[in-house]
Amino acid sequence: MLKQDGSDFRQIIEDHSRPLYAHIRSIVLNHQDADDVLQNTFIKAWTNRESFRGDSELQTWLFRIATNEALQHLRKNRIRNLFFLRNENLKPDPYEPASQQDGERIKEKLEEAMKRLSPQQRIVFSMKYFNELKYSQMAEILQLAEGTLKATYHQAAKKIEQYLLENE
Amino acid sequence: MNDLNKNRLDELKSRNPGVFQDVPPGYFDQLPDAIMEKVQGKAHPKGKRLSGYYIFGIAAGILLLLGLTFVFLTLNRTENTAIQLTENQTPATVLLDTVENNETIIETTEPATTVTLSKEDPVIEEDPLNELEEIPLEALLDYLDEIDEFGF
Repeated sequence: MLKQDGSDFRQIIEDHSRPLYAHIRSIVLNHQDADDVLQNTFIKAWTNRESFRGDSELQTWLFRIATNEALQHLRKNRIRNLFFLRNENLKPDPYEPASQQDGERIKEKLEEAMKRLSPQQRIVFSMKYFNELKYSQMAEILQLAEGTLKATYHQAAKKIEQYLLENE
Repeated sequence: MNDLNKNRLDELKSRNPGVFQDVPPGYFDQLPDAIMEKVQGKAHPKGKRLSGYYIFGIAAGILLLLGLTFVFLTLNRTENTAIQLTENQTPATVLLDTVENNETIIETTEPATTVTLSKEDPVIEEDPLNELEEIPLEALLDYLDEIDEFGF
């Protein structure tokens, strides 16, 4: 249960902001939008803290709010996001050390690969691959059957693999 | 998904736990303060801005209103100028502005205090005293009483 006076809210932000950010970022794809959505997520959680009864885990509840906010943000900015996806061009800094460059290149490729997924595939892939959520948790957050989630995850992973192989 | 693919993704994961490379340094450290400030009502929530469409609509509405106001004021000024020209013309019993091709005739009248009539004026044909013979006696007497009453 969340405390009504909100004295535990700061701790909640500190504990959950990174996984939530990663989840949101995988949907909206850029930092500025992810920041907006993340802040709106916590504001919404604060506003509706009385409605959280502890039936599900706090993380599940926050992820559900974050997913809805991110998808709403995508819908509002549909045209802008389409342009963004076509024109985003991330290049590594040539003066960075080689090992860092290697890591950065992998990050770039994964980001590029994820852009080619549908929003649902991106959400499912990010929750499973980066946040390591269980299918049961994902089912509760996304209100989808576990079978659907497994199939979606496998499709997403296959697409990403194919992209990585083609762009090695 | 085959085992090769699964191993590859796992391998990538071990080398690269996160994907997003442009998160500003210190972002997560300052985030709780930024959010607590907003939830405690000191600032407006981020992202709740008016969309560009609303701003554009408001601007278009204001421009339309200004345009209509300008047109209205310009029309009013033109009418006032036309009236002024008419009033400034020389006094006369009747002023006729004849305009070609069925345009409007503007007419003004003034009290006929400055009109001078001559004997030859075709308007006057008869001696006015002749007209008195046609007026009944009673009417004349009433008229004379009136004059006495009002001192004319």
